[in-house]
Amino acid sequence: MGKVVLITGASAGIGREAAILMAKTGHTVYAGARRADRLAELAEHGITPVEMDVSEGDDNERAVDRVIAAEGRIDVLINNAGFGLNGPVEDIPIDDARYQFEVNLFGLAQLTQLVLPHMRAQGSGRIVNVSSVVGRVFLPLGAWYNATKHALEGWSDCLRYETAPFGIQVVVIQPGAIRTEFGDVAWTGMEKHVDDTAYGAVVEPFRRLRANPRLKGRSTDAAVVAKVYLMAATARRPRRRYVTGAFARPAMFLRKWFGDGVYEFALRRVAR
Amino acid sequence: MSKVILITGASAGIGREAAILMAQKGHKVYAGARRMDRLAMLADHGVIPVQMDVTAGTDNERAVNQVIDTEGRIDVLINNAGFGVYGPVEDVPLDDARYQFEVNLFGLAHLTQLVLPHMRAQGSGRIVNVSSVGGRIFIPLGAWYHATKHALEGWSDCLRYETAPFGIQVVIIQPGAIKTEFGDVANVALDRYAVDTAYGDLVGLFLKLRDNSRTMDRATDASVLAKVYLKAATARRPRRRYVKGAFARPVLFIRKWFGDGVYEFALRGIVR
Repeated sequence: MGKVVLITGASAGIGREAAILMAKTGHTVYAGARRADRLAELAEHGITPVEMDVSEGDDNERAVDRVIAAEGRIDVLINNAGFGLNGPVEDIPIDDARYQFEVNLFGLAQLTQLVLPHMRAQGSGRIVNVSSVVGRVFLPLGAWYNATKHALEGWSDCLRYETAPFGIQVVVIQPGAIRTEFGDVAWTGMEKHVDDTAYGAVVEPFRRLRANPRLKGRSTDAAVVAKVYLMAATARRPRRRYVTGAFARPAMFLRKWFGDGVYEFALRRVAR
Repeated sequence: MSKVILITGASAGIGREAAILMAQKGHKVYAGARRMDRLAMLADHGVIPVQMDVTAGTDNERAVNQVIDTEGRIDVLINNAGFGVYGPVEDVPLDDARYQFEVNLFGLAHLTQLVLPHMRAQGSGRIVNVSSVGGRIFIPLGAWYHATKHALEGWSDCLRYETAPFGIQVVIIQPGAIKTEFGDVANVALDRYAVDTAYGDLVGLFLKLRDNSRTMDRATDASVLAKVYLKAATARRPRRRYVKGAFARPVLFIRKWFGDGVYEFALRGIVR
């Protein structure tokens, strides 16, 4: 059965691939993003572009109203919009950290609040929250990004418990290393704060690591993860969590079975 | 050797017990909190009261400056201040959620940024972040509280990695159920949000559980946790994480080794 889906952050990366895939498989897809020029192209795939910034309350209200007005229902909200803010804790202004939370957590929380009454009335619905493998493990220099994704994990677990009696399912997706613009955004964001840093010796190994083409070659294609989005959004009995993409399972396995110490030791070996 | 310690949230609960214990052991303790009347009493124990609100940037600056001006150094920052917002996600206003993050995460991040340059100059220092067993697992209706504590876990792991080369250690404490005002504060929030709620069934179950005195009787005394704070703050080779208090180890165990499904099933067995 075709579902009515609203997905955020759909102008690029996994969001874009997932929107196209879901439209192809017969779902009615509303694709939100800030960049209208990049969204417009999605219309060719039968997707309805919605210009919105998840950190803007009015945009979120307009987007949900529009879906409800046109379709009379909303089956799936995919909270995909997000970005990474890298940098040493000491160097990143707290206001930048707050903004990271506005985009990665508070924005999707508001969207969730807006769709819940409709889903409760329908007696069904699904909220798919795109977390990350760093919602469970950590990657150095990613304190604030890791914080938002860790937060989303615990928040989603509570939400799932609350909404289950209404037939509303909450699914978490934890992608690993995926070929998207993510890394560029995270590093560009960091570079402007680390000119004069005391943490050069920590930053440098990761700068080298990032420039290593072998690492990039091992990242997973966004199209692969898009299939997981589709499954999370439409499977009759979805899992609570989907782990997908390069490095995700090994990193989580290492942390879970060998503990913090071994995990940290392994990181320091890789980044030196 | 005697240490110079700044601890926040010291007017009550574990923070207060820990401040007194550390002063008794010969450490120089600066105890921050908003409620000066309750702090004043700490002076009898040789603790230096510092009136501060961790959400007020200038308060944090004044507090750190006071310690540095007087002692010329700061050995340990114990980020203990925090509280719990409880209520269904759909019902809790986002601005209240943002405030929860200001107190439980952004405030301590600011304090951390302020002490790091001094600790780097000293070539030593320790940051003790008081998380919760709720930084790893969840309790229904605590979405925003758990979001902050999960966030603190990932954030602290990154911070530890960054600051280790400077001789600065980062320690996380995960208390379980402790006899403090925490529950009362959380309950006030729950009562406020869950007035005209669609989540009445769930809220009702929790209120019933709350009024069951047997639950609270099993909670651990704050003075037991104070000893863990002392160890975390002063042990020569501290662990990365300290778990302590009623229910903490069993729930962590269930979640880790039996997974999300069993954990949720167990919760639904208790809360009914």
